Amino acid sequence: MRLLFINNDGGGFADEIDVTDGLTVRQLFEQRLPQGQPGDYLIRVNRQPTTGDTVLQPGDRVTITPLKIEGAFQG
Amino acid sequence: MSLDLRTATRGLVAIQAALARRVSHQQAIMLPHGRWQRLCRLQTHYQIAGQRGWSAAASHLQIQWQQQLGWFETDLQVLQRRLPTAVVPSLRTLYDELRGLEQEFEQVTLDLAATTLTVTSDAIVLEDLDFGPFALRWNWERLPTDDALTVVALEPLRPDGRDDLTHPHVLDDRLCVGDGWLGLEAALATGRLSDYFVILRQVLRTYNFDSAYQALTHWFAVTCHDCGMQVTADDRRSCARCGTELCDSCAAYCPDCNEPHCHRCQRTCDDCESAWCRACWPRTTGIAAEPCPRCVVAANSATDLEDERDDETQTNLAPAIPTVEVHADCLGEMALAAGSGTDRDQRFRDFAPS
Repeated sequence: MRLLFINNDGGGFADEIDVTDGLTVRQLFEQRLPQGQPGDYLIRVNRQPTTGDTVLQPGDRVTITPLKIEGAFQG
Repeated sequence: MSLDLRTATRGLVAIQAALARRVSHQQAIMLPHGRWQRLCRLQTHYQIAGQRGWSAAASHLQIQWQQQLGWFETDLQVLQRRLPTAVVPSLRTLYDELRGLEQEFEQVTLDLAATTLTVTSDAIVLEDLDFGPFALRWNWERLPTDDALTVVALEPLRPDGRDDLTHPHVLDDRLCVGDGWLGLEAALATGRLSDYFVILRQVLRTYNFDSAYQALTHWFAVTCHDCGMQVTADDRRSCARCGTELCDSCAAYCPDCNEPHCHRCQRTCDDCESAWCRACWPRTTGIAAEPCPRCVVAANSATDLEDERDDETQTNLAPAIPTVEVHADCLGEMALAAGSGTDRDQRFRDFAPS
């Protein structure tokens, strides 16, 4: 099945991806961000808060946004 | 949704039109010609400096060249990433985004007259400092420019003496988004308004001490007027005369009023080196090395003591001095009572003019 996966860490680009049926949010996270900790990110499915056990559905939009995004100053 | 449908629809139509203008603006490909020309110019100057043996200039130009090259690389990356993803979102998508915003933020406001979409964050707390909530105000009519977004602190916690700072990364209501920049660009390019505001909120919730306008450790610090050091709230002193902020080392405590004073409002005594405020020790004479009131008192006390001692000496001596009849032929001579020579010498020393 196809999902819209948006990783706001870094570039923040939206990709349509193919995943296996019955994939959970936690499994998708582990596939896409193997070095990351889920607790360090805001994870939304179809713009709604979700849980790791939620089974993804075709056409779902999954957004991952890091909790910490460093601002700067304009010198 | 809490926004009424009529307002929301009109607002979303306006936002869609603004995003469409943004897309067309971006599709008019603007190659970074200016940057390239600067690079070429710097390279020419660098070569000239090298040929003439101007090593310092060459070194300086090389640094500038590398900096410009880095920016050129970023320009190309941005160009490459912007174009293929820029699309005009449908009204349905924008409507879902607006609903998503209402899930994430307590307050979402569309102001059609002001052409702004405003979301209010919860209170931003960084390292125990509560900066209060922020209004993230996005003016869609200003989209092609950098000033489409203003970030206004609703309960500002400003550092002392800085009316322009409301957050370590917000100056004059402008958030420097740092690492969030690419994500924000990508979100706007596809009309993902909820992601756009969520990224902004996360930037506000993050403290980057390496690149803050003012470090949190010095949020309530002031600059010492005399030495320029940063002083925390607990360690600062105020000059009792002119009110300038001072560090504890520079604050001179007047020995009379015991109040701290800055260098400009104090006078230092050359003799005892004590620092007096100008109220307690006003300049009364033009003498540079005028003694301070304490030294004057000490000198007067010493004189009084001497006088008292003189009086005592005279009193003691009086009975011992016999009444003598002074004759014109023995002026300057005096008969003294018998006593030890040492006593007599001491008495004469006491009488001796200083």
